[in-house]
Amino acid sequence: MKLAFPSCEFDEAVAAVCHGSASDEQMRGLNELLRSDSVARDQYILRLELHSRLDLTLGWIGGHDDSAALQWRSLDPN
Amino acid sequence: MSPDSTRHFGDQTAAQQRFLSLFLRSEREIFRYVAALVPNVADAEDIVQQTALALWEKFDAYDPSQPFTPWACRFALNKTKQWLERRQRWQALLESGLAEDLAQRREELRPELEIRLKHLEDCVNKLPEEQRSLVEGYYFRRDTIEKLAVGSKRTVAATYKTLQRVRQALQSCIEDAAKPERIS
Repeated sequence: MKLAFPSCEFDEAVAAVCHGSASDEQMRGLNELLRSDSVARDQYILRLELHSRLDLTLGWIGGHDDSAALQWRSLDPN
Repeated sequence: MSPDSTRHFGDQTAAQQRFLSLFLRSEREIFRYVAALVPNVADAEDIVQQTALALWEKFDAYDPSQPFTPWACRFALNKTKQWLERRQRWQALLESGLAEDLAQRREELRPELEIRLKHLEDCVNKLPEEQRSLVEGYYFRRDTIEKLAVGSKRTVAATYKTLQRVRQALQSCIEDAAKPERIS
């Protein structure tokens, strides 16, 4: 799959990566595009950052008890 | 317990407290660093947890005169690459050095990302009720997409599409909000 930027296919592939539903073709297409197009790469980084910040802003601060430090404490033998 | 073993236990506890204090201050940035490569929250959390264990094992080698977060992120990149080695599909995305390139470029973009993303919470609050509810269901309650689809009377595909559009709206919002700061 040859991806172009900007394009609906690029938007869909990045969204699918965020949702964990990207196909092998989309993954390969993104790899090729992001290695050759610096503007697409920056846009990809911003979109994934937005996705992870939403989880941190709404999820982490919202009180999920799944911080790695808490889990690490429970795993640590001491 | 002998005096030596008491001292050792005390040293160990003090080191553990120092480690936890440093790690807790860096944990969100480590998570964001990992999530820039592996955006699935559960996977990223798993990698961060593995990173925490590796950091603790090597904590003796940490130089306290150096910042903790970049040191920790190097471990996080290694743990992410180990995770990728076991997942062929993700390798297809991040192979040929792309994982390192993305991690490095993200570091360069961090000041710019911070300017934009500090407006995220305000932008979420500005979303229409139905969209905000979807975002809260997905990111806060961590409802499955199937459950969200049933709740919103949409198909699963349409729910994914709506989430994609909501993130696009949020991106436009944070970029508009950040414009005056980026010009000045």
